[in-house]
Formats: sequence, structure tokens, C-alpha cells
Amino acid sequence: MSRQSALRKSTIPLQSNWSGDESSRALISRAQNGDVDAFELIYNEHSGRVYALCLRLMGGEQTAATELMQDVFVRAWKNLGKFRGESAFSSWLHRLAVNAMLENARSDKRRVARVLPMEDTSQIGAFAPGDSPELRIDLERAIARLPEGARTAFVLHDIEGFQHQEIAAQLGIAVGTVKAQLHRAHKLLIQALDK
Amino acid sequence: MKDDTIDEAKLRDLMNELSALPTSIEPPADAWAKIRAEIGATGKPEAQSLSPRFWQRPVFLAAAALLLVAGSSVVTAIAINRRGASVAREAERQIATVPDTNTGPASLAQFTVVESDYLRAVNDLSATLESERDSLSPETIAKLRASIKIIDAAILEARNALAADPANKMLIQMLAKSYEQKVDLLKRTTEMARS
Repeated sequence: MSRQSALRKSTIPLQSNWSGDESSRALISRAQNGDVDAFELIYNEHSGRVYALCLRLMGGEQTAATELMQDVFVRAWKNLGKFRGESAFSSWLHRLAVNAMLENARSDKRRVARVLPMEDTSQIGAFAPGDSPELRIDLERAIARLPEGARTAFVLHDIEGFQHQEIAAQLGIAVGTVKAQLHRAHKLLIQALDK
Repeated sequence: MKDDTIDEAKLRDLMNELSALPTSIEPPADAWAKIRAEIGATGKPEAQSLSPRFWQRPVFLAAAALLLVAGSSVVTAIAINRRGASVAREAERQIATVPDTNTGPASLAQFTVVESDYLRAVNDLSATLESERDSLSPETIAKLRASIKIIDAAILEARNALAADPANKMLIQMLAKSYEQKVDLLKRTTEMARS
């Protein structure tokens, strides 16, 4: 299956309050008690959004994104007992994904080699005119080619809707740094758009 | 000097393009199989651990300390600002009167009956205090708010823990104690404001 055909619009709101839904809470409760089938239903509900996040955080690398998503769901299973419904389940999963990505990045220094220099925009793909699947693919590609720090801030803030403070806390950096990375991301993407 | 500004119109265009990106991308079909195999080997999710030292978590320690620190500081602030030594003595007498929570509801279900009484008392006292607000100094109001915030955090923490362990008497007592602190603090502040 091509990546383009795999793209699909979600019917789930960006910040869906999963914990507020009775049937979903029942599923979580069943999974917390060791019901793998219930957990599979949870996976079916959330894997698309988690995979999209992983794919973007990992710069479009499908194998790495798949491994990260699998890691996220295994962690989610192990830590389900700690989920107490204080936040939306999807937000909890997203935090796990970001944490897993950060841990992987720390333990895999080879990733540095895949990161483009901050000001190098030569490899960022040009945008095609008009609103089309090709444009979206190009935009995805441009996002994927952003420097890692700028990409992470951009994906979490502009796509996932996290606040500056939340991102700073998750990444362990200053709010000002998040804003600077976001600014760089905007600048690089607009430069690519202008090409 | 290097121009670091971003064209607002172009940024808007970029954000428009972003809104067309999919929030969900279907992961590879075989991704679940690996997760299932791994969680199968892991076993049941770890239960939420309520260690014997659960009550020693910062939020509970902070809430417990409030009975002496925040409560007395609010009262002291009032006493210093507007009252005399007799008011302070009265406040100290009330602080020393801590209700006995060793006897009480044995389960969360039973506690919810008591909880509604606490909530009613909190609402009534809050409304009364609001009407007396002008007779309190800004410093006192700030201290009261900070104290209430800490107690509310303790209530939330205990409430969530109880959801996972509804028959835990220690947690029920902690929750009751936190509500008592809140009612007591509001009551004393209201009395001080009126005197």
C-alpha cells in the first residue's frame, strides 16, 4: 500500500476527550485488567493518530515510525494502570509517543546524521500550487526535512495543538527555545513554499 | 543584518495548508501483530501502585501542612492587618480543633453521600466569603487562594486514587480530611472577615 493511499482524514476531533466516553472508559478498564482484545480495540481507535504523530516526529521514516508506534503501544499497555482519566486518553498516548521518541533520540546518536543543518533548506521540497494531494505530500515532505528540533516543535505545536509550555516541559527546554524553533520551522517552510 | 521576520500572509497560507493534512495515517497492517506478541509476553498491565508511602506524596504533605501553615498564615495576616490578639487566639483555638476521621464511611460509595455535604458547605462558604471579600486584604485573599489550590490538588489526587481503589480506607480518610481542611479554612476566614 502506497503512503499516499494510506493517507486518510480522521473523523476523530484533534483533541478528542476519549476519557469522557463511557464505552471507551469501559474498554480502558477492561484493558487495565489484562483484556488484550479490548486493548486491540483501543489500538484500532488510536493507532492512526499515534502513527501520524510518530511518522512526523521521525521525519517521515516509515520503519522508524512504525517501531516507535509499536513501542508507544507496548508502553501504554504496561502503564495502563497509571492512566487515571485525568487527561484525554489520546493526550496520554501522545505524551508517551513524545517521551519514547526523545528516549530513542538520546540512545541513538546516529539520528544526528539524519538531521539537516538548521539553515540548510536546499533539500526541502518545493510546494505544488493549489490544494491537492500532491501539495499535502509535498508539505509532509517539507516538514519531514526540517531540522529535528524545529520539526518537533512544529509538529507538536502546529499539528498536534500542544501549548508552548507543554512542549517545553516535555522536551526539557525553555519556552523561549520552543518559540525560536517554531519560528525557524515557519521560516524554513515558507522558504520552501516560495521556491 | 539578517532579516528574521516572517510574512504574515505567507504564514497564514502555511497554516491553511496544514489544516488540510490528515490527523490520522493508517499504520502498516502487520504492526499490531508485533505489539500483541510483545504484550502477550509481558502479561497483565501493572496495577496502579498505591505504596504504603502514598500519603507521603508532595501534594498530601502540602495539604497536611496547610492545617498549620496556610491556615494560620491566613488568620495571622488578618490578625496583623486588621484585628487584635483576641482574634488570633480565637483562630488558634479553631485550628486546634481537628475533626476525628478515624470513624466514617468505609467505601467510596458511602463517602459520596458525605462528599455532597462537603461540597454544599464549600459552595455556601465560598458565596459568603465572596460577599465579605472587601473586608479582606489582597494579601489574605492571595494566601487563601494558594491554600485552596493546594487542598484542591490533594482532593483531586485522592479522588483519582480512590477511583482505582474504592475500598481503601486510608484514601477515604485522606479525602475526607482534605475536604475538612477546605471547609475549615473557608469557615475560619469567613468568621475572621466578619468579626
